Amino acid sequence: MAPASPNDPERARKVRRSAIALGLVALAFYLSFILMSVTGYRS
Amino acid sequence: MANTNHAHDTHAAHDDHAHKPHGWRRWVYATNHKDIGTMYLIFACVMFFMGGAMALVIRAELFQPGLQFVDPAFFNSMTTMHALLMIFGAVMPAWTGLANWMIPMQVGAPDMALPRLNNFSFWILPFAFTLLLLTLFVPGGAPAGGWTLYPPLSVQAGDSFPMTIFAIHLMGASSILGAINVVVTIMNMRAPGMGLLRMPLFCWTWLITAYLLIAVMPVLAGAVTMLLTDHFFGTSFFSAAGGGDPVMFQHIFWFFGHPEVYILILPAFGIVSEIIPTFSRKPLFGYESMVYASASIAFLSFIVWAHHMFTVGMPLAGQLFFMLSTMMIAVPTGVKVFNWCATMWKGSLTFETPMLFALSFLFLFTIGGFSGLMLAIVPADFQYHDSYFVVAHFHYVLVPGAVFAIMAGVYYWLPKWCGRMYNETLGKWHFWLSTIGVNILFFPQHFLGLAGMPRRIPDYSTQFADWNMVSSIGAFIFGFSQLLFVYVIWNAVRSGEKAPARPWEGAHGLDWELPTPAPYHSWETPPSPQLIARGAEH
Repeated sequence: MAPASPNDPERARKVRRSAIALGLVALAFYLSFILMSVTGYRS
Repeated sequence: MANTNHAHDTHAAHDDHAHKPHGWRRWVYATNHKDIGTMYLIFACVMFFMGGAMALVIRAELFQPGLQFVDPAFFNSMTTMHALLMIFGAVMPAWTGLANWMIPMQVGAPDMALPRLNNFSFWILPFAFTLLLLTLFVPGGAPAGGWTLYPPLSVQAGDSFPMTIFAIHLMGASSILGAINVVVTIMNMRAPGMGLLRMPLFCWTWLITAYLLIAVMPVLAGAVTMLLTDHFFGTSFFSAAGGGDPVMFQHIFWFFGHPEVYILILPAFGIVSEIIPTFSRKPLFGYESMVYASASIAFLSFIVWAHHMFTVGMPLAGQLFFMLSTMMIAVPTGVKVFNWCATMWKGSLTFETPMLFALSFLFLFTIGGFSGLMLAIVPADFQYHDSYFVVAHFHYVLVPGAVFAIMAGVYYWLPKWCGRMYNETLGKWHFWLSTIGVNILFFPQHFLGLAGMPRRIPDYSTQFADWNMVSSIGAFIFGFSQLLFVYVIWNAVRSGEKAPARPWEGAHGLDWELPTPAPYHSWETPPSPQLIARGAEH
């Protein structure tokens, strides 16, 4: 197996992508709960 | 003592002193996982003592019936601030500190995946808690409506309201960023050969905790954002007068709040799953079942939230669903308790301080779990709700549960961190004083709750006087015995005996394959597959 290097560009890309994806998940939870409350409020 | 000769050692001896920043820059600009972990742990310790001082104000006031020391409004601020400080300021940062220290060392990574984000996550916290603590000095005083921030009471607070909301947002941002870092580190930075099912349980439980954090901290942020707009921008999310629903806040809050309980306790399961095998000199019984049990607990934590609010009224089907789903949590938790007992069965047990704290965790957390089962029963909960029985329940889960596990982890890993041993006699004194104190403090609160004493009151009927006095004595024993903890750690770091590379002969894992003290940069050269295989002898 190839040795892991913290500066490996492929790994750096994966780290960045997964961090952004998780951040978007968090943002989606934040917005969706407010949205649910807004729609519930209107009904 | 194990042989720790491997390629890494030669690098470590050099790197321990090379490229290491000095002075204040080392801490303010810190990107090293160990430095950031240390800062998290020190911050958590400071918050633990501040929150503890507030708890002692509460217990001093409740020592006798009648109003002794503080007025009721300040008493309510103390209960609210104590909870916020202990949950968000002490226990959560302590776990993040331990994660920072141990996860890279345990998965064979040189550092966390996102070191600058790590620095940012930590440095948000001092600002958040300064803001929160400043509310003690603003007109109207600190928030006093309970850490649950239920409207309409919380929205009627004075100048403290926006400060509290902003502080909670900051704490939430810090937790989410820290959690993202943990997930990304574990998923991308594991050494070649370190499969997911070879990771130590502490990494597993933290991975699951991090997913929980990413899912539920934004929900809390959403809830408090809506409180803010209700207060300042004329919306009526939770105002019945404007067509909103205050009970909806409770649903949203507890959708965050119940997983939060598992955020506080899952890493404790991980630590105990490392300490018990070490001091039993046996592999952990049922490693995979422990992983699946942790994941099951995390999943179930999303579908039990309304058991916190049975008394607001809900359809019978809802009551049954939340009662039964809550009871189902006992199954994976029971698997864990069984596995810990089976690990000890016929083991060669010794009782050093980390093991004593882990065993105390096992007994006392189980008591908290059983009282939780009692609270899950809807008709019984109608009786227990908002009584001291609930206070006893969650303190058994969080103090001899989460806090004892943090202390167990600190005693366990301290020799690896600083290269020095703590004083075992003083460690045992700390353990016994804490265990005796915590039981004198919280066990009588079961009796008070069953007898009908409500929570969050500064004064009470004389029928509750005796057990309150006992509880307060326990609080002072427990509180002051924690000063001994600080002394033991300080003494070890300053002048403890030099620790061997593997101070606990039964310890396994990559963290124990590093030299002692752990070098400033760990695993710059990835560990060999043989080393990983040896460490993965669960």
